[in-house]
Amino acid sequence: MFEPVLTRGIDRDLTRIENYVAQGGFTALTKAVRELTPQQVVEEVTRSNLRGRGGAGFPAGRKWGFLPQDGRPRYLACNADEGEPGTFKDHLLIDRNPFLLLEGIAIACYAIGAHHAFIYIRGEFLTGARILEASIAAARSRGYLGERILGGDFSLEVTVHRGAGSYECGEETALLESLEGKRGNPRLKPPFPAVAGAYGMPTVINNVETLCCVPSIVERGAAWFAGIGPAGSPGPKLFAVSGLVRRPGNYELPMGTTLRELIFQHAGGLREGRRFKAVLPGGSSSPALVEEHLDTPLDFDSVARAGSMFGSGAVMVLDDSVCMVRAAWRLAEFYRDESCGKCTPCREGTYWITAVLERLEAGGGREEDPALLEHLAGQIGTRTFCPLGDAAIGFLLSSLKYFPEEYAAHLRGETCRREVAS
Amino acid sequence: MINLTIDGRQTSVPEGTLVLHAARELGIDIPTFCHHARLLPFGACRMCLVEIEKAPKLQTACTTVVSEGMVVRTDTEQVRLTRQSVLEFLLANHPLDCPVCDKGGECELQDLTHRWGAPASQFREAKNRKGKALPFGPFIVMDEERCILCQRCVRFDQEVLGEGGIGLMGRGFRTRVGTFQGRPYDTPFSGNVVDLCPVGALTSRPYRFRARPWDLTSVASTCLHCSVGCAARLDARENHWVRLRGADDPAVNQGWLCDRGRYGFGFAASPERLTAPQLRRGGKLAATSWEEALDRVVQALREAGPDRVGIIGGGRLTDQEAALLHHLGRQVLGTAHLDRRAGRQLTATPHLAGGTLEDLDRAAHIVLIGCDPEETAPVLALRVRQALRRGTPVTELGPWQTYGPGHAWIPPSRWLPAVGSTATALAGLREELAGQDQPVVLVWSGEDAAVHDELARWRQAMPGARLLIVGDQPNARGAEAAGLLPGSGGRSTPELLAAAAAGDLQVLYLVGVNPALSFPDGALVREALEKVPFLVVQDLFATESARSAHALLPVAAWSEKTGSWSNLEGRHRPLAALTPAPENLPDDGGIFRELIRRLGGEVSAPLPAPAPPAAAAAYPLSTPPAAEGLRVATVELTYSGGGTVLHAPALSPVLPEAWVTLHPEEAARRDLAPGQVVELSCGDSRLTLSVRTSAQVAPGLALVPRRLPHSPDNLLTEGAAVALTPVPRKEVLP
Amino acid sequence: MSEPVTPLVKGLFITLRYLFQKKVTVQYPEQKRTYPERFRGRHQLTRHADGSERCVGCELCAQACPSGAIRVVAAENDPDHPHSPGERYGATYEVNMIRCIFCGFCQEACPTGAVVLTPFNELAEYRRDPLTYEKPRLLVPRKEEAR
Repeated sequence: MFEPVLTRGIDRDLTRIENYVAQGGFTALTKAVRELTPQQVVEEVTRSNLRGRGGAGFPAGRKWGFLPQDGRPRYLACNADEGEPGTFKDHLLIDRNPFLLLEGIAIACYAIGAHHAFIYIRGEFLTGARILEASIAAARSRGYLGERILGGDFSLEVTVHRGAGSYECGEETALLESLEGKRGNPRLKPPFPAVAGAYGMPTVINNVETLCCVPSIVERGAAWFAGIGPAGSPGPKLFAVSGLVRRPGNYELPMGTTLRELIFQHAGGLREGRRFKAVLPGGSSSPALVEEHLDTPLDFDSVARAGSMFGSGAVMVLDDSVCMVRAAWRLAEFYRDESCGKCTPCREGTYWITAVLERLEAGGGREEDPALLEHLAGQIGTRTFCPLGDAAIGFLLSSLKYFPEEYAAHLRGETCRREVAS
Repeated sequence: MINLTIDGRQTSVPEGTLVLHAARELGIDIPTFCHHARLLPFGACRMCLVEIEKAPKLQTACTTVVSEGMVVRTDTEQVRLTRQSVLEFLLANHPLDCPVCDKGGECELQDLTHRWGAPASQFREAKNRKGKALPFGPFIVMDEERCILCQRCVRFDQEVLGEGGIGLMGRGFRTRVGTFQGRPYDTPFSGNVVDLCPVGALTSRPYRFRARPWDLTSVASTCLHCSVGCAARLDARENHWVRLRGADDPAVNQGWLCDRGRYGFGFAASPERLTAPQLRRGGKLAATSWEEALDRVVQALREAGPDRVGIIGGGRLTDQEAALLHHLGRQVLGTAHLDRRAGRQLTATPHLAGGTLEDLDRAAHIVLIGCDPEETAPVLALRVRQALRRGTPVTELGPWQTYGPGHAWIPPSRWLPAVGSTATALAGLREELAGQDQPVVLVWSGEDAAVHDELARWRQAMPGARLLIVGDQPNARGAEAAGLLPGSGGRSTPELLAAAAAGDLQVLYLVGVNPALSFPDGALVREALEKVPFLVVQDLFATESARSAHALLPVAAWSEKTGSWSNLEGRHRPLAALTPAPENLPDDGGIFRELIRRLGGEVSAPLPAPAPPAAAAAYPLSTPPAAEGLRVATVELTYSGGGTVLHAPALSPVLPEAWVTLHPEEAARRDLAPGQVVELSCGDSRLTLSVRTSAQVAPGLALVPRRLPHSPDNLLTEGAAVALTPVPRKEVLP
Repeated sequence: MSEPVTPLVKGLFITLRYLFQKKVTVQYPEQKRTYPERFRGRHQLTRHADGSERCVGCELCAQACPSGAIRVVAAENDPDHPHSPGERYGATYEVNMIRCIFCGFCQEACPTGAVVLTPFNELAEYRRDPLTYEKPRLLVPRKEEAR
């Protein structure tokens, strides 16, 4: 039986530091600082094969190892922007288990040799930002943060930086720009953040959930962690299930849990009389999967093989009341509004796609529209400056692939069931 | 060297080269929009996407650095389709109003669409509407719908100016380029964004709808507004000068211009320009024929004899004309009383190793001596800004600090507010730097004899030091090289004016100078010009100095003559005639030739080389006794001066008002608030000015702009004590 | 003998035959021919239905003109009293009728349909200068002005 790691004891008000300490909190940090060298921590995390929980799934330990040894100050930036529609797992960790995050940050900073960490938190998470501020103060007063942590030589300052509300700022280089007080547009890579990140210094950027996995790895060992779920992407995972299921919410399960188990067992299945239609396994940017994919295990490699992406593990379930054209339009509208405007295909392409889908959905479709949409998506995908362009077309392309008859119906002027969908 | 293959062709380029440049070297054209040679790689427009083997997706050629064994393909169907799609995306929301767009005909979007675009667009949706014809500052008009958001203008503002005056607003398809908090984009370099804009989004107000590109005839020339000598392209339509654009001379201006140079061309077509020679008859100037005017001048010069003739000016002539003037004065008239100087500047020729503008890029330390390059040599100042940004120490010596705190992006310089003792401060700096013979670049205004002598000591102390003197006349350096300085026994400008005022001078010949405005002793120059029995003024306009002229000789403007001149580095700068002069006016050289001929001299080419002038020949300016309390200091502004600036209509919105700047503490002590109008009195002179405050002015100083025709600073004595009296607001009766 | 006479007689016969046919010559200016509707004669600058000028001063007509007969200078509309819709109008518009070859390229090039060639073709003048038609002569009068 899987026992929760990230959400352990979450019902016992873990925003109070004594409760967190009482259930063994900060033992990992103590162990790291007192018993391990930074290099050992990096090696442990590398061996655990912890993959980034923000969406790209890059191995965290390898990311930490990229920093050049050139004596410049380094920074850790914790990505708590969580802008992806459908994702609300970091939100939960910040609000309900803030010290786990701070412990993870402290261990990561110890490992990479950073003395300043930034938590870039989404501007709308006001409560979360306040909880973090209070938690930092509490951890500092007990010696878990600040000067000479736990009496050792390691010092760390943590700054909470609230964003101003932009999806694009979840992209790591745009996050750094925004952190520096500039416009949240992505930066040219190379140089990568590991070489020139925040304020031009080597910077590691990790997702909230990734950092929350770190204390248990240090405490219980890489082998234990690597034993949870599939070998290629192990560990516990928070699945944020939303959409037309009976019990939407966050579920902590091992990596590799199948879609079917998550949707029908944990999330309670669909509403009365509804049939399963499609699922977005990794937030709004992931291409939809359909019934034939329900037995796909939810991990980075399996979902990719099924033709979608695991992303942040936000599972959005659509049933047969949903009009796929309308869904595509609504998502396209989101990406049109959230495109940062820097590169041509994304800025103009999302506008164009949204206009076509809106017209199509309203009954003004033209014969050539599905082909045009496919063409436009092809000219946006992989051609944009940052991955937002690919995110914007994932669902559209999958809807064209799996539900062509819905587009055809709109072209024939058949009304879609928008009263249900809206 | 890195070996790579582009479209099947092997090439070898230095490490760090961009794929784009490697391809262009092979003659393979990769289209771009956001790329610009003088800006950092950006990669936003996606026009330059190419295939690179082993890369999972297309890569931008303008940001990808070559690597060993790289195989690049620019000629595939996928690349062609991508270019077509990027253009289709760009044109989707483009207004396609080429017929009314100033850029139509020289537009990069038009050109690349013709070359790479699809025959027709698949876009059938409603276009995204944005702002049209928005004022962006005194010179710039913005059309947001035409903008393709390449951000060249924004990047120029950030990377080259470091100001942050413009930036992107909004996001996604609503993104637009706007000014900081909607304020006017009034940097003195604003016009460069028009040159940079690949489309017709940013256009120049003075050029607005004046011509289509195919109407224009152009010449490559240089801007003769200051001593930097920026390479420029001049455009005329139907023999009217309508535009001036920057040209990229890597050693000089790198393509940039200041707004004075760019928009100050209207003087050539000013209705105020003199078009016929005038002679004083019965107390009034009246138009006459060239024949009569030159006869009268020749007669006056002959009657006076060599020792009672003085010639002032020459820094606005070409090198060739300056040589002719030297010949006229020294050989034909036989006088030693020649001086190109008409202001405070002693010399424009460095007396230690002369520097180049590029030395500023390599400098270990930059010292600005009584000189604000932002005002007097703006394009040179861009290199100083870059140096500050790189962290090069910059020390300013003088009554005010230019690069102070409060600048958005650029770290402040070190400031030694050396009031009245710049030389002492400079000596202190020399001792501080002694022993570390670094490449120090000194930028000097050429004023203050004590500084001149102190600099001579730098020659020994720091052989690596380089000196740049910002000339107060564009070709000051060329004029000095041509020998337009007093020879042995000759009188310098202050001495000539004193002689004229004392009645010891018969003829004073002013060539393209306006000492009534520029000479620091206003009382002396006014008296001299009144008293001299025969005053000849050769200029474009009837300047303040021409009021009491006896002969007024109009000449061709610099856009109407061909020749060359020397900038502050002594670098050869070409001038090419764009339009013919109105009424077939002769150029200065033509007048000198005619005078030489009529005086019985000969113009044989080549003219004898001038004897090298004595190093910074004496220039006795009166110095006031040390004063207590508030003292006058003056500052040259980009837009000060009468003449060409005053008569360029486009510049009228930026012409400076008369102000006096005080340190905030001085203002507070006198209970003066910014914006308040005061009367500044100094001896018998009075000026009415509005108060400004700045912590970047040394306490104890009242800083007044120089050479404003409506508020001449030379009525005041620099360094003398002044009093400020608030002028009561006029009561407005109901 | 008959060899040189025969062509002469033939020629005279033709002359005689035409003498009795209907005359081709039109007694201009008393009589006037009607021209086809699309005959290309004198230029005209037209207006939009609301009375504003169509010409935006883009100079494409001048650029298209093979004989260099057109000169256009644009200017910026006063937003309170615009000549044409938009920012720009043709402040000067001149057609040199001596140079014009009435090819109609200007009409074809015009993006706003401002310049059209009318069938009117009586352009003779005693002097050269009036043959340069300026904007007031080319522009269709406003309806109220025409009345």
